[in-house]
Amino acid sequence: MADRVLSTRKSEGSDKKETVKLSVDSDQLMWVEKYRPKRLADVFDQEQVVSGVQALMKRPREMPHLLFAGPPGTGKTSIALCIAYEIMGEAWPDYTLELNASNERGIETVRERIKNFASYGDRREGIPFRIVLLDESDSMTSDAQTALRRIMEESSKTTRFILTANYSSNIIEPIQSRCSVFRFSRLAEADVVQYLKEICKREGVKFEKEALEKIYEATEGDMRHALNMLQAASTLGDISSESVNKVTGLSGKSKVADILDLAFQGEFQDARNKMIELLQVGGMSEHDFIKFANEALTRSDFASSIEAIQATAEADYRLLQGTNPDIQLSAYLATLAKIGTEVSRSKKKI
Amino acid sequence: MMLSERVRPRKIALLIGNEQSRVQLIKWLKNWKIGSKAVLLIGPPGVGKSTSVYAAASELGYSVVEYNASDVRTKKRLSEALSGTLENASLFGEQEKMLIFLDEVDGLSGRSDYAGIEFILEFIENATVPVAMAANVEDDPKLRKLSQKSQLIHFGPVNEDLIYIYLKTIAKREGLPVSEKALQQIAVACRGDVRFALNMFQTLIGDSLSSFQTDKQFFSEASAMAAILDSNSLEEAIARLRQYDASPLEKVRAIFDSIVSAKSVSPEERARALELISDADILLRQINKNQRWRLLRYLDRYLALALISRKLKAADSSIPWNLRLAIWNDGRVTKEFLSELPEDFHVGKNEFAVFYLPYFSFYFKNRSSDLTKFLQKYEFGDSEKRVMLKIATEH
Repeated sequence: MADRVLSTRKSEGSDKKETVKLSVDSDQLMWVEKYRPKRLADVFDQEQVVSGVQALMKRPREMPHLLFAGPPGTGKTSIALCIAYEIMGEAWPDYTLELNASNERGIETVRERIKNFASYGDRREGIPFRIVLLDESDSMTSDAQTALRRIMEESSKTTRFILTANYSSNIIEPIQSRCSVFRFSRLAEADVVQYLKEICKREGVKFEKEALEKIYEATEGDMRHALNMLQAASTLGDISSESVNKVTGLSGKSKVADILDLAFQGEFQDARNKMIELLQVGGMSEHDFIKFANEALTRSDFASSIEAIQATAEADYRLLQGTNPDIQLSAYLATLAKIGTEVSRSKKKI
Repeated sequence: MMLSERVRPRKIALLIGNEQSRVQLIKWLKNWKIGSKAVLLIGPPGVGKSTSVYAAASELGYSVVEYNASDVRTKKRLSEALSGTLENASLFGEQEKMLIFLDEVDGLSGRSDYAGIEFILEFIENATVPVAMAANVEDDPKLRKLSQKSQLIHFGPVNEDLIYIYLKTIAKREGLPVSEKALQQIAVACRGDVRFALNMFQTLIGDSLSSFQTDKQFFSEASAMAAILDSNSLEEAIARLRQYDASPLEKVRAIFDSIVSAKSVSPEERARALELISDADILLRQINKNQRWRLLRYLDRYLALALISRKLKAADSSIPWNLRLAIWNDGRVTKEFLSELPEDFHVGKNEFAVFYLPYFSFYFKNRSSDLTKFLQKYEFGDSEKRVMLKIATEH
């Protein structure tokens, strides 16, 4: 692996930090992996978390289980992977089990797969313990979490757990009390823009500062999303407001917003076909659809429509029962179409 | 009602593809005597397994009694159903020969609540009538015993040129103006699944269906649905729904499709009707989950309320055919992406689908040399390339 660390003086922006270091893995095509920090020192944000973790790294053998809580794209997984690298070096992938929400993580998996992995002690030099990285662990059922709690206790001689979650409150108390909890804050605009700038320079792409700010705004501080957006925009030449505009609509999230707009305009059939396409061809889960619909609703003209909010909550609840997503989401879009038509009718009367 | 049902060949020689397998099946039934093995037909959906059984039976003078996974789900129910059948058989044994057909036997074993395989084993060993079974996969461990005790007949996907000619023949016979290009597309897209090809074909020709010459069965099914949709009172609709011979799931789907494709309903009407269908869906889910069959009696009521006085027309599918084609062709490649790629990016499938894949697609569309590298790294071929380039533009 070819690693190179670039150091650049910060010319403007945030005044709390002097330099941004880029960690570069030039084997990677996609920037989101190419520029993922490898060592804790490469992490450009979350100073509090990083200094806390670095303190723990002075005596790695005594490291407790960790719980990282915070919004998506703020570096939770990256810092967890950095820890694995700091402790075990290049051999880390062999001693790390990474499971995220899309892996089967019911109680069976916890009992079998995690337990098997975690109970195995390695007598290799430089491998003080194994690491189990459970991403999005707040999506695990509480039964599975309870099973996990036992395993964390039983295997603490051989294994450390790093759990990430959007909200620590969704993690059962007994697990929280067994972990050092680190809270990740949303990345600041100045920091993200500065980081994107460095990447543009490294990639030889010209940019407008306003365009980078626009990327930050569109991705709400989610670094992975911002990097993917930046890389897509870079194919259109300079990173300008125009090129960014062309890529902000690409994500599945913004497509959900488009579908809601169509529904509110009364274009039910069109909205439904696009919804089916997004799920069946685009691979979005029905639960994500309703999650993003809820987010889009709060930004739409219908943000204060009690009916629309109720319909969203109802659809979410029904989907959780394991019902037919096509029927439930179609019924949801039909309700939004009804609300949209009623509102436009009453506006006309006025 | 469905084209695939209407054109289902009644003679075994009229099927397309899998000729060897059909010969084996006919030989088995012709030489069958008490003590002969049962047959297990193995092959992907839509290649003619059930059709061959029905055609062979009818040509050799057997009537078919069919059970599939949705009919019988527990050992108790299965044994009730089958022993009832056998009693009937002895009553009518003189006049009529009977063949028992167990469809989707792999569908049975996949369910954890199902204890039927052992029972089927016992049943086929002591059967006094020929038993044919069908399954999609062979390597299901639960089916292993069953395959050891049966004569296996394999069915494969039907050749696309055969399907093309077949569709062309139907189009010609029915006087339908369908372009050859569309037929070719369907023949390729269906990947050897004749039923799927016919369904796509039917969606393509859409309304011209009504001018089709109809056979008896088609007429009765279509008119049943039309009668349901045409009911004048709630009681009438409920009564007709009750008579309609379809599974609860099929009923919900049929009425859902009709509501969704209805053009002349107001947004309020549509929302109200779909709300009721959504309630019916919840009810059905509760019934299936907790085996509360008693609750089924309310299902027809919900459906009747949803359709009453809404002037609906029966619809075969509420999803346009080009979208179905895309789901069929591209959806499975997306699934492949989502099962292989997210791990390398340390994210879950759901996030990868939303925040990665569309940008990757856009990037690769404009950077073909990187696309080549990417495809090579994951050993992806042409279909992955096509779908990767399509994602950013499509939706």
